[in-house]
Amino acid sequence: MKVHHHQLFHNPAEPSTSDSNSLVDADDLEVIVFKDAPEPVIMLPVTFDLLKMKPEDIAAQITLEDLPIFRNITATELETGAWTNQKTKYSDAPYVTGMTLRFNLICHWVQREILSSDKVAYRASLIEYFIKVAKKLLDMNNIHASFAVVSALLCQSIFRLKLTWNKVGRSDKQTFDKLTKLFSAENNWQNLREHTDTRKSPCIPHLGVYLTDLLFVKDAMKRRNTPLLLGEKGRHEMTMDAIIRSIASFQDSVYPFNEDPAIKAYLMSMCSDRDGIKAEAASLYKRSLEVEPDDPMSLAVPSASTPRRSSMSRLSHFSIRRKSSTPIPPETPTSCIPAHVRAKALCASARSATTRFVKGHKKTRSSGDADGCLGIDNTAFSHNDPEPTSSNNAASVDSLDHILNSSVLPEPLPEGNSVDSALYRRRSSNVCPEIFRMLKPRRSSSIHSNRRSEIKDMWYFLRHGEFPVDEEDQGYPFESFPVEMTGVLHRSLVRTSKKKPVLIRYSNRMYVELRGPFIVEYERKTIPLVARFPRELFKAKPRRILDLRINHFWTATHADGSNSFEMHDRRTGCVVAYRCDAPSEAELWTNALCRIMSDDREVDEHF
Amino acid sequence: MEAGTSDSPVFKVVLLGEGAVGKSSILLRYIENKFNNKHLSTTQASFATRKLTVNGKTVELNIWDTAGQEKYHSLGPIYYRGSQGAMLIYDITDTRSFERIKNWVRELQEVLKGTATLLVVGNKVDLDATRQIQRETAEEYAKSVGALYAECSAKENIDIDALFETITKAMMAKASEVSTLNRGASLRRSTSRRTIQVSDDTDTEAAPKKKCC
Repeated sequence: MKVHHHQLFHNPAEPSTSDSNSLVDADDLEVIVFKDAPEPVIMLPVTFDLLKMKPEDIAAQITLEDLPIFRNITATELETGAWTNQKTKYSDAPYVTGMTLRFNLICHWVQREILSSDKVAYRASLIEYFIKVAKKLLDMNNIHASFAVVSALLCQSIFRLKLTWNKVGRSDKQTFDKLTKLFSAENNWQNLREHTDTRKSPCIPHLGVYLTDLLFVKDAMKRRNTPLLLGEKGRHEMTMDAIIRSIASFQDSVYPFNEDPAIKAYLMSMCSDRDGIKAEAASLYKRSLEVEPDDPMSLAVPSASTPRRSSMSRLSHFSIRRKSSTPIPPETPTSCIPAHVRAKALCASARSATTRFVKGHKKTRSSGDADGCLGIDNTAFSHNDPEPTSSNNAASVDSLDHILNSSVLPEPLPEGNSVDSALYRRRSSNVCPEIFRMLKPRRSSSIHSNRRSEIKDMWYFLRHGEFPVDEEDQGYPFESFPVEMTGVLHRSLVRTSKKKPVLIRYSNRMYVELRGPFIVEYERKTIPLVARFPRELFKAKPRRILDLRINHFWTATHADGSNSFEMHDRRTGCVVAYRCDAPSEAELWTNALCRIMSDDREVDEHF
Repeated sequence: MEAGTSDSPVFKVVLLGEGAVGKSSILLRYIENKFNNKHLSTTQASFATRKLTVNGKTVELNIWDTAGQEKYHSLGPIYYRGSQGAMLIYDITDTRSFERIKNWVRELQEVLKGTATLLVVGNKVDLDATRQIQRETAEEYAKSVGALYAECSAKENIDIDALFETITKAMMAKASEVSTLNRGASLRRSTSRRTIQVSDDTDTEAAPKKKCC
């Protein structure tokens, strides 16, 4: 360590007078800062990186700032215990309180720097760095600042960061253990006292221990029964003198360091006033909880330091929770829903809660048809509760099978379930009973902007404790139905509802889903950024939703051998054609549609 | 140091509170005789060990005083980590000191997570005329955070001994609770080991018998 000392003494030949001159200047500066005057503006170099600085350089600059305050402490300040007086301590004991403030400033600066990073590894390297700084400070006998850095690391907001501490290197940890032993309050700071007593100037001791002793002796003096003779010194006075003398013995300390403007500017920027410090303590702890939540496993709130999971899965947890918490549309008072429906709804929500972590089987849900439209790995779809709320419980098990194997067409949904249809009607009542409901195309319909909006919602949730109520996000009526069939089809309007023939032109490919009595169409994304699955080529928000139960004038037709099928509205004469890739696929679609439409009406089939 | 030399249990108690609420006065009053009669080196000031007999049991108290260092915000953890008891002292004539107590309590609960006995102490009852914090308010608060409550006066030596007796009793109760829990666990472990051994024997004996039959 001696070697370091010599290295640090940049200019040992420099006369001490010039040093003390510069110290006086620095001293004035400090006093200005402490009086809460506007801070001198020193621009911090943009490229300043703490970790790139040598710990000993930082330590030297800290020491240069500490020293003038320490040197100016007067015996009167110490003797009178003026620093304990809440009202007059700043005026009567400016340097004792100045030292305390320095201690707190350093302490907060260390915490703030460590907590500024979201990355565990970076925080760990900062902790290592500060351990080195503390060691260097101790080596140059700045016990005061060294203690400040160590106590910062011992503060609950840093001490509790288990993940970070796990990454701190062993040798640095050992150094830290030694330092904590030195600064332990054990046996009334025995180690610290012994260490301080063996130091030689230059040294800045930790003032706190002396302050406690002084106060104690002072209290004991107050209690003395026998008055002292004039000029006589009691035992306690002697003790007090001894304490003050030992502080004073270090006050002639001079450090032969040169000022480093960059580091100085940086250290100045860490300064805040007294009130700021008080306010900051709470915010530091909050920040600490933010970067490493108490129990990372039990919290749904994502944090940067929890073991890495993709942001996608984290968000989908959120969205599922959110949907499952409102299984019944809020516009219907719960009292008017039959009890068993409510129970069912609860069942559904419980189910979705239990399936929260089973992401795997969601991928298989919409598994594919000829096009291989497998695995909807799309956050927007994760909150489409795949469990059929409106089918009875026994059927729900079946439907799961359907989901798992949707290339085989499922049985039509159970009929005559009056409760379910009542529930259903309530759900569908907010759907406009037009033939095709044209949804306003939303600008934010890609997966990415969707995720962004989810993040936004999440922030809203964190701030307000609830999710924002977005009418369109209340859920589509088809969401309660399982995906029975999916496919990428071309769509073409053959004849409008006004019986006007239009130019037959197939649209771009659409992603079409058959969910219960709903046909849901999704448009292609303009620029698909992620397209691991065919589904991801299409927007998350549906373009059209056709409710076959309300618009029951529709029939599906399919000509043998043709790879397209048509949907006819018998009432208006509107004809829409869908083109598939193969005739067999078209047949499958027609059959599926017919089965749905045969629920409560006759079916026209043209084979 | 006397600590640890005898078999009597040692409890660490920290005195916390705003400056000038009388922490060191309370401690001084409590250890007064020792302080006045013996020569006192600085290493022994502000830290006291005292043997105490409560309910026929002798325990040793290590009392830590933070007086004078209140403004070192971050020193708290160094003091109170590993302590079994904390006295949160406030001045009944100073509302601010009472508010400060609440911060300490919050901090202690976060760090020690209920392992320590908290005792909220209202000091300076001799100045009852200028009282700012009513006893009921403080008692209610102490109850709400699961702490004990006491009032005293270091100046007039009112209830100082009772203070330390109260916290010692509570700490002993907590310690015996923990030790019985531990003893219970260890007993259960030992008995279970024994039963396993027995059942193992019977199993090995029974198994071949069955085969034979």
